[in-house]
Amino acid sequence: MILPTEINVLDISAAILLVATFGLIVRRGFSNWVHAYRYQTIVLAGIVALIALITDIWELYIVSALTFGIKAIVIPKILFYVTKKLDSPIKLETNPYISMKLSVIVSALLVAMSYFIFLQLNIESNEIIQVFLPVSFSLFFIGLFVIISRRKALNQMVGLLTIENGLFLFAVSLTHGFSLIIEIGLMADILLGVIISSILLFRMSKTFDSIDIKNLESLRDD
Amino acid sequence: MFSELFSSLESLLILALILTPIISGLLVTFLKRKKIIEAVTVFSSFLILIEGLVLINSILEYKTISVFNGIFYVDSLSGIIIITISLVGFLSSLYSVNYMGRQYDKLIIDESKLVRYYQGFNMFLFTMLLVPISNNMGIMWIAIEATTLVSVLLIMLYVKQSSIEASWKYLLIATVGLSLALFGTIFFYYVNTIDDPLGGDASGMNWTNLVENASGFDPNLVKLAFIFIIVGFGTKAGLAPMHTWLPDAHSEAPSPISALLSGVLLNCAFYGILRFHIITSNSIGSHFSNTLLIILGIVSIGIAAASIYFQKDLKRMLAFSSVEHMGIISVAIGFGSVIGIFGALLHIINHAVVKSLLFFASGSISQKYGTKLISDTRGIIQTMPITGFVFLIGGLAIIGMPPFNIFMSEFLILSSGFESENFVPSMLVILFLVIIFAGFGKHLLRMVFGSPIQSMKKEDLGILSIIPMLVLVAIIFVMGAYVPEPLQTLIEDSSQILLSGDIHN
Amino acid sequence: MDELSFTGIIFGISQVLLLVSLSPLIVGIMRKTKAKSQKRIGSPIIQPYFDIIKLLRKDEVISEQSSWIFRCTPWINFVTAVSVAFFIPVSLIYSPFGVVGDILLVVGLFGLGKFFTILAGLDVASSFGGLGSSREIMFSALVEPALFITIFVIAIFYGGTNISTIVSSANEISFLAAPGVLFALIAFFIILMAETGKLPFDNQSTHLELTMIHEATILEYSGKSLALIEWSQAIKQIILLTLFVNIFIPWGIADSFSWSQIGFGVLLVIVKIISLGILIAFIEIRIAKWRLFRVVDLIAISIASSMIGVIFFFI
Repeated sequence: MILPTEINVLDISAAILLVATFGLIVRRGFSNWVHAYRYQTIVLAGIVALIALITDIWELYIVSALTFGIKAIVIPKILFYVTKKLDSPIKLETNPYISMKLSVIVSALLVAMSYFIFLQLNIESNEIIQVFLPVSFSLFFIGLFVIISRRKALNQMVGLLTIENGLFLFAVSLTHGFSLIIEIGLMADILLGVIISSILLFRMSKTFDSIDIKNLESLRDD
Repeated sequence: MFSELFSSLESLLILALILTPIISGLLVTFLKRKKIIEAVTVFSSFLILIEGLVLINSILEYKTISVFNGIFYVDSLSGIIIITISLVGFLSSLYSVNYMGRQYDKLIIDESKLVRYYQGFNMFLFTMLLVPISNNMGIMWIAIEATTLVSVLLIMLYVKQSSIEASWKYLLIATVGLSLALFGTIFFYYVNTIDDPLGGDASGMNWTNLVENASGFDPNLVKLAFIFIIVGFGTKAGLAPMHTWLPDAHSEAPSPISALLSGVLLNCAFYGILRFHIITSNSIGSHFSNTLLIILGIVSIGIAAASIYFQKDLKRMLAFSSVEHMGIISVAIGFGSVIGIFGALLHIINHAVVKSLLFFASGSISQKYGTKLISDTRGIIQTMPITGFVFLIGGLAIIGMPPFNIFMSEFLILSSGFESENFVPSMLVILFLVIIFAGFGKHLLRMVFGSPIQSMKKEDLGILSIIPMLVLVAIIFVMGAYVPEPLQTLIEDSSQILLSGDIHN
Repeated sequence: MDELSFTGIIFGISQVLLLVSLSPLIVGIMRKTKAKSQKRIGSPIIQPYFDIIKLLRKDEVISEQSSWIFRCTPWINFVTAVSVAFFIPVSLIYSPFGVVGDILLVVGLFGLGKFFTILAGLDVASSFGGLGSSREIMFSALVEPALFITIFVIAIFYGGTNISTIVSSANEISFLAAPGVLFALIAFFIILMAETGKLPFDNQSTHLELTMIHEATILEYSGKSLALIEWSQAIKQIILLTLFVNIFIPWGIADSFSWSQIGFGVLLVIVKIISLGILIAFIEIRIAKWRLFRVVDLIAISIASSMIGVIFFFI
């Protein structure tokens, strides 16, 4: 039995992260997005731990544990609670602005664009930067794409969290973690943001009877 | 650390500055009685004003103050932001007592909402005060993001369809924009620690550290990072074309909060751009960032001009006027001459004063008339004489009529534009200002002097709503005549910082 | 070993016989798995063999309207499926007849079989046949581009379109060293489900006119012809499963011609195919049939996944 001697752990973890991110685009149910986000974050926490292992910076282990604790356990819990409590009869994204098949293709093109941008950047890089920076751009772009192409507010929220994950991966891979205090501050900001937007979601579903953002078009200048 | 705490007055002051709103917020949470929480908030914001003024006094003396191992760093540039926060914060808390009390009497909000309002108010002040005093750009970013979250809470105080819409858009757009700013901040940190990639500690993100090392940065990366910064913080500062959330959020918030959002929060975000502008200028010269600032500024003024001219909603008109003035400040910084920068910094203070006056007045007006529509608001000077008078003064000041303060700073800015040979931008600014003058002036005169649609009792809305406005009117007149000596020194010092980036001088 | 030596030929032929004879068993196992997980007892695992034997002994009814196409389609199907089996490495990293065994040839041969099935569906001029044919042709038009991009990804990573080359380099590097293949795996899995008519695409155990696709095209067949068609379908399925297993999880395959290694390889590949079959059966019972137009989403995923695979190669 032959097992390959050289195992490309970095690339594989990057690939798995991308696959997990695509889960957000291809699924239509509310709870599916939360699941997709959770898988994505778990992979992200693993990647941070991997970077910690390679660079031998102990702070990154704490950051990885924090990521796992807050973003893979607490935030999905809040979001699941929100999904359960929303009194929307059909918990599906029924007709997004851009259809599912087109958004999958567009997301693949966005991934391609991220790699292209990274090649243009010309950063003198080590292997970690080379592998994860383009992926972090992809996460950012895909999150942005989800925000502008979907109708349900919850989906936009998960898109926002994906952007944030991309940002986090960007920070960790480029600078190997800047300082624990700032990371903790970031996490607190995210947690607070999730709580606030959950309250907003409840209010939205109570006032409009849905969380479709087509209701949110009354404020404009004609 | 504790020995340092008591060793200098300044460290104590800075600590007091950020602890006051926190303590006050906690007190509000526990006391819960309407009268008491109002008194607590007014008192604490008065305390903040005093502390701010004392701090500025020591800034004038020492130029730069760095305490707690450089976690907090204050110079004259921060001083300008601190003075606007503490002044507008205090007046706004006074005005809140009247405005929110009236909403409470009308049963629009209940007591628990009132508690939430004052908690939010104190936290909002806290997060904004954290912005100018933090040395670490990461912490500054966190503070600015926190201002978004807190102000979203304040905007969604009323459970109305429009306020939910406004807060959702605000939350989404501002957060996405700020995440770009964090990209930029991390890039700066990266270029700063590029030689020593594994020794990352927080000091590499300190502004002082970044400015010192700026000359050695990789120019291409700095350019890229600054683009991220200006788009990111520009979103929060209301620069067009990233301004779309601003009119919604500023018009749907309770009026005292609108004053804080327009008059102060925009400056806090712009302060972020200024700090990175200094670093960028030190690294690759000021041409690159100046050009970007001028372009974004002109676009903002132009879009605001068009929107103001055809505006139907009073508070939205004021919000677009904020977009315009942030554009003017940005253009002025972009001109890059001594006078221009002096004018820009003066304009920050002037705009804060005038815009909060206008929002206070518009709050009273919309409460009295029960509408925010310009077409239904007629004859303010007849129905509420004092408010009508201050509204007229504020309106004339904001469009740049001569005896008032905004005229002075706009004049400085435009003359610096011609002096630095930026003819096309200066001409465009003048053109747009004329359009705004016509549009805003048309709405203003009709609202103030027209005849009321239905008959109303001739009465202003309580002494507590009048006092803050009169204070602001006094400031407008004084600043229109001359700039007080200490303020002038403060602004001159900060112009020096902006021009040279030299932190020791 | 010389590729066309006598032992080689014997070995190759026995490998083909193995595939052909095992193919109904896989069908039986998958049916049994589904039955068990739905708390039914289900027919025995070897039921497909009984079906084929029974059908072979029965008389045929052939429509008077039909032409020669209708009669020769089962044979073409069977012959193409069996000839593809010759090119597939099963327990050894290359096939003794592998010189001509290009993966595009495999696609082409399957395409030929499918083409005739569609024609036969139209030939008898029954309304169901026409319906099934049109759906089948729509699917093939969608799946084909996805399949070719996937093949492209595999080819650029493993250095060629010859199956023997692919499998031998897969055995050397695999996706552990070339993560782009991971995306090809996702794409190929979706295509596998589509080509074998699995659940989100097609439901083979129904005769409901609204949903059936493949069943509709072969509705007019009976007796020997039906047996041949069912059998060739089973062979196609086992071939695709073998390809999947050997391209993406090749570990344990024999890399030289020695009996001990091959014996181990044969056992292992059978175990892998059966577990993959069970996995697919489990996936099938967890999802319902999708609307025809939503199925396109899945194909889009497959194309997008392959595209990312290409990106991964070029960085």
